Amino acid sequence: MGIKPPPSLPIKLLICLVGTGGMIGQLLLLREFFILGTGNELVIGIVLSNWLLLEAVGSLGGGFLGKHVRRTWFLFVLLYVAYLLILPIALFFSRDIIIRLFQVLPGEGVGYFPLFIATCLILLIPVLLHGAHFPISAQIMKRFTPLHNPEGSAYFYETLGTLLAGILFTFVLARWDNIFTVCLVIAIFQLVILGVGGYFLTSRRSMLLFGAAALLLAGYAVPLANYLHETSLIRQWYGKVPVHYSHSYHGNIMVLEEGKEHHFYYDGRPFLSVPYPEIDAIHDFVHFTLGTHPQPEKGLIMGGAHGPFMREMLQHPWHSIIYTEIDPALIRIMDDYFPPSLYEELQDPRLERVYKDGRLYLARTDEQFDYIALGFIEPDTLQTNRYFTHDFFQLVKNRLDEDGLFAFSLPGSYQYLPPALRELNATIHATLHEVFPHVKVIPGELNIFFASEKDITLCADNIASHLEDRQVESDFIHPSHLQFRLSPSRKQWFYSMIRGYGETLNRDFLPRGFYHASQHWQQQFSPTAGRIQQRIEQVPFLAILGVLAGGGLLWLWGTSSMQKKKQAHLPVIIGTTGILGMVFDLVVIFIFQCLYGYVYHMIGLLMGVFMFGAFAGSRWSIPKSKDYNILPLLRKTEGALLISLLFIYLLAHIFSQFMEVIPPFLSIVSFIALSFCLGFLIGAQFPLATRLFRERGRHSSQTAGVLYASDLFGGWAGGLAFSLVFFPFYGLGRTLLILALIKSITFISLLLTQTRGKT
Amino acid sequence: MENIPKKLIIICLIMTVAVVTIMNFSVGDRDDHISAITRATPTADDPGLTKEARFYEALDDNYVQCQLCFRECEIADGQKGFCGSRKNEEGVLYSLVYGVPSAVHIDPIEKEPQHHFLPGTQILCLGTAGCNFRWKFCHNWHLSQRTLEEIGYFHDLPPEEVIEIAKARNVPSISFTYNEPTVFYEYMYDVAEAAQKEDINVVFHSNASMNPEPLRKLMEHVDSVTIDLKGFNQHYYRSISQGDLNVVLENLKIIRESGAWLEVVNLVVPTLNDDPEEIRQMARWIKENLGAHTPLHFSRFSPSYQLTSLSPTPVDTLEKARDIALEEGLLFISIGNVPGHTHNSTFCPECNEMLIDRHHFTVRAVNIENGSCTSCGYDVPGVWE
Ligand code: SF4
Ligand SMILES: [Zn+2]
Ligand SMILES: [Zn+2]
Repeated sequence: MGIKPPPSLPIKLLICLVGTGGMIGQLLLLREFFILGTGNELVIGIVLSNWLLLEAVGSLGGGFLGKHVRRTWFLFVLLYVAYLLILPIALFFSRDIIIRLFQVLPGEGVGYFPLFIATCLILLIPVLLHGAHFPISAQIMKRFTPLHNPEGSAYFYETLGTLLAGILFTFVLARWDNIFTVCLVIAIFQLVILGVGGYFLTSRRSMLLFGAAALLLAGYAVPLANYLHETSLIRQWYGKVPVHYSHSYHGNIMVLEEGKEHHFYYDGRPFLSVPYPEIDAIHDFVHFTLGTHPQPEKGLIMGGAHGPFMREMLQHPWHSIIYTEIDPALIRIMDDYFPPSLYEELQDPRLERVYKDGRLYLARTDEQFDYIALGFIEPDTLQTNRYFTHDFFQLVKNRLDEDGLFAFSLPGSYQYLPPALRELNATIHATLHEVFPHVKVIPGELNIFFASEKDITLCADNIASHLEDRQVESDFIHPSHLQFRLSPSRKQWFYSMIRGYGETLNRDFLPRGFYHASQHWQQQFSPTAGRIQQRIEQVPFLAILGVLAGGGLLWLWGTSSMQKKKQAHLPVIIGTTGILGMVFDLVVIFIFQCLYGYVYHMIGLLMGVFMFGAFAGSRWSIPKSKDYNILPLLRKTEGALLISLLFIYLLAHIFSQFMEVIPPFLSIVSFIALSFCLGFLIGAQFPLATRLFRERGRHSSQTAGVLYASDLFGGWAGGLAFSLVFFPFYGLGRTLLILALIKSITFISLLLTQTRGKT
Repeated sequence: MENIPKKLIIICLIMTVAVVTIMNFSVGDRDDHISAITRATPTADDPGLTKEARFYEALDDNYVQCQLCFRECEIADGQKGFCGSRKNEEGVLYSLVYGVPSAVHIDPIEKEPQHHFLPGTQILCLGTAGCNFRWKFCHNWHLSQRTLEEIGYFHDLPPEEVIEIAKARNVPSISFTYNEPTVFYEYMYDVAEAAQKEDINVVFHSNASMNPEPLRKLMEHVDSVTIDLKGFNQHYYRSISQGDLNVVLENLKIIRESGAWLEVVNLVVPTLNDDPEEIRQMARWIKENLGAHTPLHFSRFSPSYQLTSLSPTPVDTLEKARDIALEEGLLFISIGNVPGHTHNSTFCPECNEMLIDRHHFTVRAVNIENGSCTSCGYDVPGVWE
């Protein structure tokens, strides 16, 4: 056997598929956790950070195995098949792990901590397996192909597979409702390739069995996928089978049916029930705001204004209302579950539904409105926070007539506002007031906000007479109710509660509204986490900068005085690049979400391109590092990383400020390019630093391990800190500033390092 | 060659400075808009240990045993009871929430809910911090599942001032609600006693978990009570809230005996306590022990506190619960928290005419005169003037 070398295509294909499988698994699990975390994007940070760490541990384990187990092909196949088997199991249990593990009640939510533990547990086995694959793949590559750089080409094909998976996911698989179908289709494909490819590689007939297994699986794939999907959903949703479950561009939509009632869920959270919605809130909002308006004729409603809400709106004598949703897919899907009478009423010729993201619509329309409102949404995700920022309010102002009215609501209370809600209301109030000279609030369970360029009179008689003139029928708007809602003492109480709060405005890239809304959410589950958060908030930003700068200078002084151990600073450089690597990956995702809100769909492409960028970067730098003195090159990459921080900042703001002129296509292309470039820079640095390290130091394998470990630990800690604290609380600018400070210090340390020959 | 690093240094330093400057400019610090909208603000200083608790016993080693509620916490020196509102300081038990309500509002009495007690009038509501139960769907968790320290917000409001506010605002009743009033018993008692002297009605909304002695004493000054009967299943009480159903049932009987008006609320939470058989048993028990005329409110759950992903109770379930209670012979069964539902109103058990036309918290018409149905003369139990 094996007289002539086997063709290398099968092995390349197999390794490529390892990458594809890994990426698809990562994306599917990520989205499940995203739903468990009720759409809070910070979960992405938790999952990706933990993934990175586990994958690295797996890779170390794989390297160890590869050295000690001689049957590498067997090992390769074992890992390959084990991952295929374990992924659907992990997906299956990801849906109800929190319920089983933390013994929560049906429908009980959880805080970050249980989510963190749950992600670790669910990711543990599949990610370790996947991580272990890489070193084995490299060995297999070496064994089956005459290539001179087997590690490099294993890396290439795996990354290629990752990129393909990202593209495939975003353009095709992301919209498949049943994640198990995705998972099984990929598995079948992988098994076929394993069977056929394995046969060509090893000439063992037994390999063909995998192909047979694939055929068998293909025969049962549909029922199997359906079974897994339904069973896991039943376990997740306390015994109920969703009548609708789909992934739109913006998130997960689910409908539960109970008798004649339908409950609509978005990203795992119920937001509307028909035919019994929270009708009192709808009446209050619609009729108070429209009753305050002397003559609403042309309206724009964006987000959270579903059926029953819109029906109330239509009671007023509009010329036209334009209605958009944060997730346009909701509009169509909900129609199917509305009672016929409601559906009929919504077919009103004055109502124009625009199946477009509301913010984008607002940015690009030329129309003027005399009434603009947000339905029942709150800034508790980055996706919705886009509708509560200074930048957004400015857009609203541009499209609102001078005597027009802008209205929305925020969560409040009839009894008492906890600090996070005070912060939230105060922050948004201040932000709104920055744009509109006149802002008023009717406090209650829902605080109704009014803003205008003209003075607003909130007066019970006024509202009542407007409603009467327009022949609006509402059982809710009764004189005693108006008196209750508009009570001056309640208003006074509200303002006294928010006094002294909301010091920082809510901006696109300083999402304080989101921060406080998710803080409030968090505090429901864990007062302790809330207290920790408060401690963190109290640390002045300048103190962080000061400590970093001081520590950095000390470190610089320390390392430069140790002339003989010049490589001592390399682990720090690599560690900080590790932080940047994770942060860059996340920052593109978060910026995209802050601007466009459909990262749920785009995440595959963005992550795939980023990883491919990292690969390209390393390809670019490896040959360069062979030639001669690489220190200048390392300095250049370090400098480029520093500049890229500024670049990210500028780009983000350009996109937010010029949303109306930048075509959506261009923005997507730009984000892909950004992902690639950032990945490239990160990827380029690691080989250079490693090379320098080897070149300079006494390189025992132990110290090389230190380098690798610092990269990883930096990435893991950086990813968590970035997504849980820095981005939501300090915002993009200050976070990049901290990174810039850190990187300037390591950059200076590189500049202080003597070039070779002078030592 | 040698020049490159220097150039790089300069470029990068300039870039860093640029980054720092631009970024600091963009971080918007708010100026003075808030001050433009503020008025008075309540204090948040520590009220301190001012009021010794009632109903407790000193034990050895500076331990005390609180005997206010069924829990009978044994509290070590320096520690707080389960409710977080009572603290042992050197063998003396103090109430931490006496005279320091964190929420003071004027609400319609329908919000309580109270349907047969002065409909359409207002109540002055007081709530403090803490609770001796742990329901995970508590709508007022901000108050009930936190200590005063954690809330850090209260009004300094001694009993006399509560009475003054009620008189000044012309509110006929004072209500202790929002959080569990048991945990601020001393304050509630003193306000109730003072209110009685001034002919102001006293209402409270509770989980009925006090010990019999303090409850009987309190009832001497109380006119009307709303009790949450969260289910009719000891396991449900125990496992989800660390409560005790039997205590609640015994207390309901005590309240009934006291002669005060009593209404019972049952929050129907899907999958947790919506078993029709339990609802039947509960209705039967109410009829036998409290009387068929006791108003029973089936209230709709909607996602709150930690039960964020559980969908609201189907209205169908509530209607079925109402049918069951009717079958068991109860006379006044309403459906709560479904604004606009017919059975938010009160109907005459005799002639089926609408006695009180109620829409959510608004009373639109009362067809009761001198305590009788205006169309058939049926004597409607309750307090009408
Ligand atoms: S009132 Fe509080 S301290 Fe007293 S027994 Fe009950 S829970 Fe314990
Ligand atoms: Zn109440
Ligand atoms: Zn009658």
